[in-house]
Amino acid sequence: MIVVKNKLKPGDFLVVALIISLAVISTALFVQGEAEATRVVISKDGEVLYDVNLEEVKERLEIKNLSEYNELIVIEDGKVRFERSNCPDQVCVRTGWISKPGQAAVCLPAGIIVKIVGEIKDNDEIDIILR
Amino acid sequence: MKNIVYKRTIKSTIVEGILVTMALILSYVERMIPIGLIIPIPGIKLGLANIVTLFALFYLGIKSALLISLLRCIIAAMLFGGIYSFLFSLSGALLSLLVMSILMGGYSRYFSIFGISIGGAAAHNIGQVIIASLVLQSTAVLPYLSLLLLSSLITGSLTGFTSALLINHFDKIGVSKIN
Repeated sequence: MIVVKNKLKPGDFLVVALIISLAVISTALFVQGEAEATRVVISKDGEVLYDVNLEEVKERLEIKNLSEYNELIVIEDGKVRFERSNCPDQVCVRTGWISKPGQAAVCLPAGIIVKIVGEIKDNDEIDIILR
Repeated sequence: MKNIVYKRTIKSTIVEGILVTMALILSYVERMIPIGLIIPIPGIKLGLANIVTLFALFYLGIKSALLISLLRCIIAAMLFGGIYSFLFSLSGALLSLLVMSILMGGYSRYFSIFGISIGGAAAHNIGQVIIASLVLQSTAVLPYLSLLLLSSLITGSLTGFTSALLINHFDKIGVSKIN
């Protein structure tokens, strides 16, 4: 039985509470709500290369060779992923499929961002004008 | 410059050297553990090298901890990373060291080694996300911050537990400071 003498102190709970509240705040700030997933925006070094409507892609769509790492980006069935990449860290491939607005798959070495952009449904249309 | 030049004994220099080596080995071992498969968040890391930073902060002081962190980041980048992983690990390590050294000021009174370690792990993730946003000039990575912060509670507890074991052992053999 390993006995750890280091007892928890009140400040520890403060640290944990602070981290959890930061996590909640960042979720509220950066993750978009129930908007419909509509577009995939693929950009390299801040420049938008592709802007594809996710729902209009019926067949498997492959986007190749955007950089020296020969990554293969695949869009199908309303979702998108890096299928393979020769970049050193493979974070982009491990991100897997993304489909929800606000989600993004990023390949840092190549500078490529694949982002799902949600179009928030416009409920502010004028229903009727009374005169 | 006066602050940077600090008194070093042969003993502390040797310990610093050993700690840099150990941190490098831990960074290497960490690469072999596929934590990303268990908790699939892009950019998630166990942060094993944080144990060494915490140890250095505890027994050698902030200047040694800073030196060890810098050397680890530079050598790790030359051995198995590139410029991006260097920027990432450096920003994470520096922010984490800053937070841990602040928390260390209240050690045993307000914080245990767990609180310090968890704070350091969270700061590491915040630093990485900031650098990622700057490098990409985009906010696309920000949604991952909340998941990374929650994961840092787990990874920080693990490294905190390991550090607590280490410190217990050093207490037992009667070492409280290395200089």
